[in-house]
Amino acid sequence: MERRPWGARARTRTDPALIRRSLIVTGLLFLGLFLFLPLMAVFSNALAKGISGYLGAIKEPDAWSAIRLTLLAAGIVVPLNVVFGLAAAWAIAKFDFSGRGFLITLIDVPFSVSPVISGMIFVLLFGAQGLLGGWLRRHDIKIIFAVPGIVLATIFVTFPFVARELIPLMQVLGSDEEEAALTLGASSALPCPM
Amino acid sequence: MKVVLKKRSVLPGFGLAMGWTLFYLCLIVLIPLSTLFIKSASLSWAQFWSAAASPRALASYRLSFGASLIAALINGVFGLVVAWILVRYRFPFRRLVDGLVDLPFALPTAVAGIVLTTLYSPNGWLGSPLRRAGIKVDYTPFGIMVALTFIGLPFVVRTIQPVLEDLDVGVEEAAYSLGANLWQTFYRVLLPEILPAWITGCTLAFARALGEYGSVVFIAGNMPLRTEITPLLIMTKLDQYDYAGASAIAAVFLIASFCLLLGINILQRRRTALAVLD
Repeated sequence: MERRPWGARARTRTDPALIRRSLIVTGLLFLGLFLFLPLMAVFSNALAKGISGYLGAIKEPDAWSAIRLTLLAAGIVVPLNVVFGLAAAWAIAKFDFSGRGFLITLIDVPFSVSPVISGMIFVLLFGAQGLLGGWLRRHDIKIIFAVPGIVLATIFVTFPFVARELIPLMQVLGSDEEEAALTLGASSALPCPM
Repeated sequence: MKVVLKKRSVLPGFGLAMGWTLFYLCLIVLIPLSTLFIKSASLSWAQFWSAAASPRALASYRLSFGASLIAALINGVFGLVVAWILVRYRFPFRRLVDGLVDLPFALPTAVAGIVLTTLYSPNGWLGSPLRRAGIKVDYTPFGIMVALTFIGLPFVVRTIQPVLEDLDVGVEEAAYSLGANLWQTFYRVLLPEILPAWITGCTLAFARALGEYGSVVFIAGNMPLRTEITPLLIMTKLDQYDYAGASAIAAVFLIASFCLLLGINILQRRRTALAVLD
């Protein structure tokens, strides 16, 4: 029998109007309280001094410097994590090896670590009293309280996202197309999951 | 008996992919995390327990775990409602609402914290009517729960939505045609399909809420033994240069979070394995 998911348009029955309306009202009230009000508050506070006040605040040198730093960190971190995510997803989704589940859990670890702990471990490693602190001081390399530290911490925190998205997708897609490409003579470099 | 470490496969790239994965994992995750345990190992057992099990630390664990659990459950119930109405019903601005659900995920936590504090302050949009009704939200555990509910909101909704969208209409219609009423259809036919995703969503919201710092510290008031969450306690210890004590508390907290995540993954894999057998 052909599957017709709920996302498809054609449906032959709908729930009774009372249930529909009370669920919609409940859902929207909850979202209103916990989502829309805070959102409106953000914008009303930001625009409290009018558009000119808003633009003036953004044009401050401190603000610009912070925005540039954020964009720089994102620009470095995202490509790195994409490459890692692809490699990890390829290894996990296409091959069966012992310790696969453990590897998946390890990749998920940064997701469950508190941001405070995420930052603290880099301070413990690279800080003045840290494990590598003396070596870094002798070579005059600044990691903590400088851009490299920010980049490292950002990599740690956003580490799992690409792999987490790709692994279920690759598992669903299966290996048939790559195996077909190999039998048809494609070299190893070619059957990539595009 | 031969030990099989990896099933033979014709696909290329395992060595390279696995090697790079392990290298990156060690460099970014395992080595930094190990410093936590190395630092706590510098304490004697007695010092470790006095830091990690002090009354202040225990109060913070209770608050962190308790508030996160309640926030996750609130998100669980209402997240299911929101995902349900977004997928199955049509109402004005549905697509806009659908997009806005991701907002707590995109908003910096400090911004969320400041906005919520302003909202619930005595002069705030929500604070003043609540004060008149005698309910104080800011600087109480109640405020912490509100902040944690806000930041956990997208997790349950986004985890359940794809599952709801993929539900087969035919199965539901078959149940109705066989005489099931609304509640029976929901409880016996739809809920078992949604349950794994629902549990995953709630646990993700719980894990996120556990570690949350930025959005909570503004609204909490941060009074030790009353409204001090564990991440804040760790920060306070770090400010006092008590790195070893901070590491002890962080290590305990980390092990608890890791066990939680391990639990979800095991549950998910068991569920997927059972589903594959169908």
